[in-house]
Amino acid sequence: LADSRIRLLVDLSEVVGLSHIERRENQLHIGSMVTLARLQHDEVVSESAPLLARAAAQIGDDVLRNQATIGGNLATTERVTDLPVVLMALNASLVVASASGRRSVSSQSLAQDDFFLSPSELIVEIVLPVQDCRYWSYRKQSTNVRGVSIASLAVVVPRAGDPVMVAGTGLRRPQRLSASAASGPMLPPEQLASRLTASLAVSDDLLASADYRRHVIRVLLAAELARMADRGGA
Amino acid sequence: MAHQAVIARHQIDRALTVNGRRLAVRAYPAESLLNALRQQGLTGAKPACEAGQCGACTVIVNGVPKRACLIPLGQLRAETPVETVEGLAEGEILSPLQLAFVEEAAVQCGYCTSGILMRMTAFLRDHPRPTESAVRRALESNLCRCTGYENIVKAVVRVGQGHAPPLPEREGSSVVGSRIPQLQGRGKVTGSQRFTTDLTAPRLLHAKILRASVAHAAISRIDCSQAWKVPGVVDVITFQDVPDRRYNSAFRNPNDALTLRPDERILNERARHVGDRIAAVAAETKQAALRALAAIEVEYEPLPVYIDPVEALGPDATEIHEGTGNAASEPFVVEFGDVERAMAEAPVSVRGRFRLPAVQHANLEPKAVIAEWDAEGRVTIRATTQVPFHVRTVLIQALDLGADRIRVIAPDLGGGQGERSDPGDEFVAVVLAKRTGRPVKLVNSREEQFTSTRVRHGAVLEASLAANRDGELIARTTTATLATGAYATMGYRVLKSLGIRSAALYRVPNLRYEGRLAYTNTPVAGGMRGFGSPQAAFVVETQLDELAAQLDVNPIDIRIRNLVKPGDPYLDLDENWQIRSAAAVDGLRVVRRLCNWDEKRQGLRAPQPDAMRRGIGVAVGSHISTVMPYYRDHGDALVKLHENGTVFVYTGVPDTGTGSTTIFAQLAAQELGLPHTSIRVVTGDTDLVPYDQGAHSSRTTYVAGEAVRRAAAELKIQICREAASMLECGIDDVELTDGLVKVRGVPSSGVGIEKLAHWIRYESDDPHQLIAERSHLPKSIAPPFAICVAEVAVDPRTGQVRVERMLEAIDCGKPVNPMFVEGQLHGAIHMGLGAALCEEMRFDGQGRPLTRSFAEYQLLRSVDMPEIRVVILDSTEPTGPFGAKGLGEASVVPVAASVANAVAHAVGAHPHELPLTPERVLALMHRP
Repeated sequence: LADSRIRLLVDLSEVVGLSHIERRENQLHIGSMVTLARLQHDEVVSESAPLLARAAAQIGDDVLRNQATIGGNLATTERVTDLPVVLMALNASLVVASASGRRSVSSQSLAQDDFFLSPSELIVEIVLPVQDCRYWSYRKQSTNVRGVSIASLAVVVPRAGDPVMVAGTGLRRPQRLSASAASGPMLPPEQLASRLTASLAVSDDLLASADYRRHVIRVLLAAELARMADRGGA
Repeated sequence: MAHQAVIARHQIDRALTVNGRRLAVRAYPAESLLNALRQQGLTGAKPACEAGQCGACTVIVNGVPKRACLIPLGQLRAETPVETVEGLAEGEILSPLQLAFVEEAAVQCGYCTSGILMRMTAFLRDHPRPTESAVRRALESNLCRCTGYENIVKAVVRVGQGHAPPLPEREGSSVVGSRIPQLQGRGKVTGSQRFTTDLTAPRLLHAKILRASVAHAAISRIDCSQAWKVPGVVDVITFQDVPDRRYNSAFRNPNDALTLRPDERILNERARHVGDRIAAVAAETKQAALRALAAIEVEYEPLPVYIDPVEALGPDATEIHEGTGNAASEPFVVEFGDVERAMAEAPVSVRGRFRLPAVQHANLEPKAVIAEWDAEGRVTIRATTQVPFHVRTVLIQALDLGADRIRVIAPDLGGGQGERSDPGDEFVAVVLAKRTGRPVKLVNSREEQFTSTRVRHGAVLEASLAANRDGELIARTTTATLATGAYATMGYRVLKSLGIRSAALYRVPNLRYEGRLAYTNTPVAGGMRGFGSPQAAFVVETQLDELAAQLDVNPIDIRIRNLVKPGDPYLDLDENWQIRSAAAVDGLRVVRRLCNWDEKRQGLRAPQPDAMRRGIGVAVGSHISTVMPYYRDHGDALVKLHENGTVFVYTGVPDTGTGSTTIFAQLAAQELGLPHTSIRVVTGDTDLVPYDQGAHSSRTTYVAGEAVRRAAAELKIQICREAASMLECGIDDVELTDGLVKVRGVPSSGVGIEKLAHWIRYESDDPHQLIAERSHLPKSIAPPFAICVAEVAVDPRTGQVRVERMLEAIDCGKPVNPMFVEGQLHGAIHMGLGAALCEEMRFDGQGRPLTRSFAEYQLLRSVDMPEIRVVILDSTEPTGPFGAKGLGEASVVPVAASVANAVAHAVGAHPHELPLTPERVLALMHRP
């Protein structure tokens, strides 16, 4: 391939056991070689993790989704892409294998600055609890070009407990917004969104300044909070 | 070893099933399917980004459309069916989609076409009757720079509806004015047309250029010893191996030495921008060449970096070229009237500072060249160039070769847009081919396209505009500082064009323009569609709206009041150069009606149901049909009659994708009284065709086309003379229409041109080749005019801008081929909207480009395009061939300005900087 940074390319296409989509009781198991097109269209995924299907459908274009895989998307180090955001919101875990065995990586650790994968490891599977919630959404804000996203926000409101809100903020890891910051007296959505995003770590990059990116997440969040309030969720 | 590309160790033999046939390939397992196909001569799938971003290499694998550049060969099984564009037609019969692409002019340059055809073939299998919006969504995967996607969508929808092809729209028997599809259309939709990137040669070597990794530095040490050791390397060169001669890549003729500084060299001893040419290698394979590049050691001594042209011109700035200061040319000044007094006394005036970034042509075909020397010491250069004769002119300077020893061939191009009008990298291939005695091919990566080809001049402009109470312009001043990048090239011409072309659009009695050209440590700026006029239009059209607001007059009315009219002088030139056709005022009236301007301009101020802010804006632009009289511009054409009655046209203008080859055929056919199918056009080979200045400056139809028409007229006289002899009548009694010669008034005397041609060659007593050559030195500038109305929606929460509708009207004189005129406007709208909304070359503080791929440099995709309507205004240019003038550049000039004015209407403040990123627009809305 033309990318001159590639020094070693390992073909996984014939490796058995990386292309499954299976629901086992209350968990969904997805092999790392499953393409984004399959995530988008697969009935099991649409039923068990509609948030994931929705997010997959918004990555790149449909030809790219025929080739891009869920594992590849997660192993990308350059830019926080869509899937880490939704997987964190869905409380997924990643099964990672190496010569010395397998380990499970919580999707919460995707938020850490240290990359979760070591050079000798391979993502083999993504395991997530079947989505069972009162409300969920995934929204992205792009530049004036539709496919180029500045920030994203995944929201899951479980049947019990605090809503989970995860923001994709560009170059940094996805970040969970602390629902506890929302406790206290009921605030209008804009003010609540400002409070929730106040401590968000954001950075400048080619697409946007840190301030603008924070603003965009605040806008996305305020709109979500308003919707949730409409449904009596928050 | 950051750049070492290790593409496995050993080649493997693989069998593939391509278009139903077994194909044996030998390649490295990690080699892409794209390369493997192309090495087998299946060059329909194109390399354009090789990173999965553009879709030009899309093929269908096992029924699924995929990007061949992302598929490692090792992943394919022998039985997996691969479909490529070469398999779409059944023998000579095109698929309905291919046919629709040709007939609907969904093909322009054709470089993206095969990928799009494969994408859409797969799509139509799943969605046989798609809606327009479904097609747009599916097409999102593929980039096109020529068509604005408009006719592609139309063609796909047509196939879904099973509509019969449209009947060619013809005005009686006139060939000129007809919607004739591109003559090369079949080659482009079958993948059989060879672009320069597709060419090969026996014993071919692959070259790569070592590009500077720092923006400004002296080179203290360069060591190639490790590069020589890489297996497969045949030659390694640095500046020490090339002549110490300076050239200017924009040289056209000896007079250019007065204004254009020769500051370029084939390889450089100093880095002046990231991407500058430092060294080069030739090797048996591209992989070996890349490995060798990585093994060259360069030590840089960093120097201060200048990105901003104003800073570069500061008194204490370090010189980018030693001994010249950072002014890359003399300033250019135009002045008439008494500007200071007029400004001081003006009742209304506006003043502002504007900033425009460098943007890029983003042609899908990367720059490519094959150079080869023969035993007689002649070099043949096949290259992606718009200006084959200029490549020769510049090479004469760079290498001190005689013109007779250089042959330049320009195959049809995968896009032009001005990028390919000044050569440089080509000469590296020439030097390597000479030293190795073998043909050498050089193809840019997409990253090199961004760092090392050309860009539009970034500009900082200070301007003021003043009017009287009636809205009549009385004074205008502009100071422009342009960034030429690391080398001067044609910057002085752009400086001049920026000042003159916009000044000639509105009558202003008092005017001062001063342009300065600055060296900067950024990619080299050069010619780009519009050549200074888009930058000027952004300023003037913004200030006209600002003035209109102060005066409380309608933006359309203030323009009508001040626009030039037929009979007006062109600036201060004598009456020979007066403007003879100008439908801009009519055009404003037409668009006013078509877009419901007055109602919308009022109505959109009301709150919108979706909480968006909407606005409508107008802008007018103009440019040229020739660079006369400021530069000498002449075209030559040669036509000859073959013994079967066909006529061959020889021209130096390569087809960049606009359809110019077809235009020449139409012009010749019209003049000769032959059907266009009797015409063949030979382009762009300096050994075969008469001298011409090439495809630039919107001169193709107006200058080169007029030369073709004149030569055809002369050939017609020769034909009629022979016919008189054959028919035994007087020459004045001979008529040539629809391919028949006959005695006037005697229909039964009709003889087909093929019979006459046969008679001349084989039966006449005086057999000779009928051949005619004519040149054309224009005596008028024939400015085209373009008017745009943009309708936008701005999201007040995020500042995101969506252009919802775009209307463009063009005065291009009489259209030779209305379908191509529309295609030019569609492409211009794509390029102009990109400049308005998202396109921008960005750099970090050290001058390293941040926009080096289609992932970073944002091009609009099909889903981002607005609803488009284009209108060809009724106009005739008396000095043009059959009333035609240029249009390619003028059409892009007002696009971005109209969007900026629409955004201003929506948010209540005028942007003075492009592109209108959401962040910038949000800041504009909250500006105190």
